[in-house]
Amino acid sequence: MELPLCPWEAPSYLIFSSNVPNLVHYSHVIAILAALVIGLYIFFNAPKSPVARLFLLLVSFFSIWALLDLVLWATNRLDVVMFSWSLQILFEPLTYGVAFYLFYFFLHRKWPSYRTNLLIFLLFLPIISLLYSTFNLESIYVSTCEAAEGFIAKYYTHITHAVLIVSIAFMAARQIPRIETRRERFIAIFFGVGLVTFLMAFSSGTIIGSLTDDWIPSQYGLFGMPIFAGLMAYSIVQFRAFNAKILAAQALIVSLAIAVVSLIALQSIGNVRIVAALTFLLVCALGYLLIKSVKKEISQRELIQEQEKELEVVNKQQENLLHFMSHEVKGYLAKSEAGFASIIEGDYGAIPERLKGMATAALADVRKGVRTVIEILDASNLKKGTISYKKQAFDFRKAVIEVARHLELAAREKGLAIQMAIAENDVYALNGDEEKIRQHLIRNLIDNAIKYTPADTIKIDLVRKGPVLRFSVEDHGVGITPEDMQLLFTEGGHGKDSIKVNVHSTGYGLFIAKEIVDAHGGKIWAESEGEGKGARFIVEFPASLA
Amino acid sequence: MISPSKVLCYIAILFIVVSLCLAYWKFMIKKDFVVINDVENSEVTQEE
Repeated sequence: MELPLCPWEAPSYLIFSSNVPNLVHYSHVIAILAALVIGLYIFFNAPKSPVARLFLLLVSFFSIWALLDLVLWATNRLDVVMFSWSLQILFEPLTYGVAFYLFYFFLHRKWPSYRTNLLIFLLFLPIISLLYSTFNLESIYVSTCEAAEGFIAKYYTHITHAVLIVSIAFMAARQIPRIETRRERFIAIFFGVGLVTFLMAFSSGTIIGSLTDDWIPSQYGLFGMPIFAGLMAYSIVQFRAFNAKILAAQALIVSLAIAVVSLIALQSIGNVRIVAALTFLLVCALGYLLIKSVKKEISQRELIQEQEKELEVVNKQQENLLHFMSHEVKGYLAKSEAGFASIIEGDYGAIPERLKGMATAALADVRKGVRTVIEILDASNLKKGTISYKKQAFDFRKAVIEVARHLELAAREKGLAIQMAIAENDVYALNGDEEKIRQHLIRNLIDNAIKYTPADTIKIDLVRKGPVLRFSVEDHGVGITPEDMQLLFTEGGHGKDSIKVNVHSTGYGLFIAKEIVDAHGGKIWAESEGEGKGARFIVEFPASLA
Repeated sequence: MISPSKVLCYIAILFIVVSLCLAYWKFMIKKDFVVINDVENSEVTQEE
């Protein structure tokens, strides 16, 4: 079968022929490029966000539509016109459909119900199923390469668009007043208006074209696309707190580059004026956004600097207060400790058994209190840098064994066994502050293992591996989640559930242990396979100290 | 379990793909459409 060709030459690269006015190239190419750049930028900022994905899908469908439009202007083949035209008929309502889902998710942060999805599916069904039929495109004119549209293309698609726009407007009217903060309400309105204007500008030309068979007005609608896409992107950015300044700067540079390049392609003076006017509008809009966001950022930075200074003063005052309080409390507790110890040791004569039991329990409690206060005081001193280390050579192995034996009773009371694996014939001499290493490192690690292990054994290993002294404590306790691992050695850092297991935890123990290990040039870290899978704390001191 | 909305989405995608294939087959391969030749003495033709 032979088909006649439309009365102009075949296009080169699908979209260039004498039938396409320069203005059409400009309106389409700038719209496609700007929409895709904005869509991709938003997407790469938050690839997992459904809003960013839907926005990219929206601009992609729009770009496919615009590209098909260029093909339709350029081609002189009737079959290509019929196929591309039918694809356009599909992609236009699809863009509306995506816009509906985008707005729905933007407002509700969830997908629509099955019933809504089914209604939208049924709305689209006639378009999809009758795409290739004469209900969609009836015939084609050779002189203009324009198709005569049937009921679907001429009326039904516009009905679909109207239904979706009304749904979006209805959704906005119902949902936006429910948004709590004024700023978010404003952004949602901004986004909704941007979206509806985008769709109206998109359709206005095609509605006029469909009804009057004059397709020139549709070209002007496309000029608004980058601006509306930019407005929507700005709302998404504001809603998700992206860096608006970078977005505006990038959009401005890309748009200016496209505008300048397209000026080269234009020949007629009239077209140059239109392009220059549009570029001017774009520069004004994006430049305004850019200047506004830079101003905002500078004022925010100044505010942060001011608050930082105030915070430093308040922090210092709090630290001093904590230090003073801890000192005072420690003094009173020390007096009570001495008093109870004297009673138990019989300094005030023989005492009844009941009183002795009470005094012993009270002494244990007071000692716990003293340890807690010392821990807080030490952490405060470490932070202030006022702690000093009395370094001298001592036997690290002896320190580990003695501390472990001292804590064995507490372990046995919980039904735990302490297993020690220490090679006898190695040398474990270490040059450091023995008292601090015993109290804050060895004792702390073993004590923690006892507190956080409900049953089973605690393994203590000490080994000398060449130039490194390696000490580790392993338990089968509550374990450490990856999130808690981040907080482990921080000041006052508690695990999410650790407070449930050990209510007396100050959160300073491991912070102090790490500070002490660091001060001795060693390193400390923890290993755990996760919650309920136990943990292993490892400490290494370098050979220069050993 | 796969949600009914997802099933609907897959059905819609399938319908769209089938419909596009049908349009391609009808317009581009079979070239089955009414041509109104309103150009007088049109000599330029496209061979299949």
